[in-house]
Amino acid sequence: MNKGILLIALLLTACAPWAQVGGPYLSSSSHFSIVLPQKWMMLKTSEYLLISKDGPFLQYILVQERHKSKPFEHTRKVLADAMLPQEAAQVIVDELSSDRSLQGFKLIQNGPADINGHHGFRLFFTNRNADGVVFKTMYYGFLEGEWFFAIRYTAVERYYFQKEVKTFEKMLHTFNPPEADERSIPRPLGR
Amino acid sequence: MKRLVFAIIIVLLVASLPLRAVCLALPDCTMSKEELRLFSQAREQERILDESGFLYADPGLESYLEQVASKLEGGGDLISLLGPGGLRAAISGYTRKFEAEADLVGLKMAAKAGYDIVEALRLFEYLRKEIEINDTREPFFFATHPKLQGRIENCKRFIKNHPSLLMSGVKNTREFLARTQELVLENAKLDLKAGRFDTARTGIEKYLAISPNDARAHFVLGEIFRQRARRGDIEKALRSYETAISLAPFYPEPYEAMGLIYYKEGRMGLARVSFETCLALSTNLPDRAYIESYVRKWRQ
Repeated sequence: MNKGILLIALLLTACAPWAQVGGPYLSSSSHFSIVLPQKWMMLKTSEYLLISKDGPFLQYILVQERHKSKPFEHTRKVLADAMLPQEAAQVIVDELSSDRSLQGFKLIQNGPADINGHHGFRLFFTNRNADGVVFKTMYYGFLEGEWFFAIRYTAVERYYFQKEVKTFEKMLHTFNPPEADERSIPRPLGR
Repeated sequence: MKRLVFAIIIVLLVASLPLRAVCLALPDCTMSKEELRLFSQAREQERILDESGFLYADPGLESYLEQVASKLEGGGDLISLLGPGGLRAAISGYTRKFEAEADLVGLKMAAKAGYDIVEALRLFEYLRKEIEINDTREPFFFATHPKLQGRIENCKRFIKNHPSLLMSGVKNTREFLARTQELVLENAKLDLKAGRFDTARTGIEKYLAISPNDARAHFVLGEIFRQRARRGDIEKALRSYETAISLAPFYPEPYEAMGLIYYKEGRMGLARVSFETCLALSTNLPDRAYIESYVRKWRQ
């Protein structure tokens, strides 16, 4: 009986959602490649790529891919064909600032950015949680064909943000979306 | 030992839930995320009605609901605050009968205070129009109240049956609009951010009816058209920006917006002139970095 319970506990540990990662990463479901920093932990989910070194409530890097027709939660604006990075950035800013759960949202910087050769935008903003802890976010985004890619680094402003910001910037410049012919293959909405 | 292992198993099970899981799947609590959103929305609309005197206010319940609302806004734990029973009580607070009575009491009070009670119907009309335009469900909090149309009919019937109350009551329309016009403009901007283009347009047109020579309003109207981008909207946007510039020639934002339109249409000469003008007019444009990057390309 005791051995049975221990075995169940071990099996459950094996199903834990976090795994240590590092090096080149290619998601077959997400169709983008990026080089992950060594010894970071990745959350196992097919919806997005989330990695953290000190725990997701202190800092994380999130890579998302969404079809441009996917509606946003807090704004009815959409990402449209031939949108300039400036316009796409405005939609994202409006989505963030209309989100009531994002307390104390303050946009510090909004400007054009080059993400490994892709013309996009960079947002730099802060917000706080219910306990008053201030978080800083560096958010890069760009439209490529039918898809919008977002790569963000969020961390507690005090100590944690500066700690891994260089790691994030290094990782950012290894991001590569799929080639044009692969992107034309229809994929489920929300991917 | 058995208890320790059992506790470890429970911890592992909870820790394996996805980060985004909303742990509302507790016994006796069936409030979904959508219902929480509607509840917050209903609180906003309830506040409008309350401040207009058309809501029966139970001070005890009012204070209780304020606590709930602030906890929701602060991201607090709703379940621990209310408990399942309290949650149900908060949502299903008013009964249909009392709400209808409260409306009529409010009308009598307004008439007694010298106000024109026919104006009361406008409030319900605004609510009804907003629900239609935004294609929202009637707020959750109203689910146990008479439907909005029922309340409109109730008030109309009361007004018809009490002609003695229909004096030439005070409307204070001009004064009211003058005092609230900035709010109307700010509200239109928020509607624009939220992508509620038609509501934003209604708000701006209401503002322009009061202040037709306000360049800011013409600029916001232009932004509504430009971002909505339906057929014919770009031409309307350009006209609104030109009106804003004619009213305030040193206002930089309309130049920037026109520059974006020309830039996307490939009319680079006009785009360049517009962008260079807006850069010259302002040193602290929020999107300055983008405009400078466009201009830099031409200079190269």
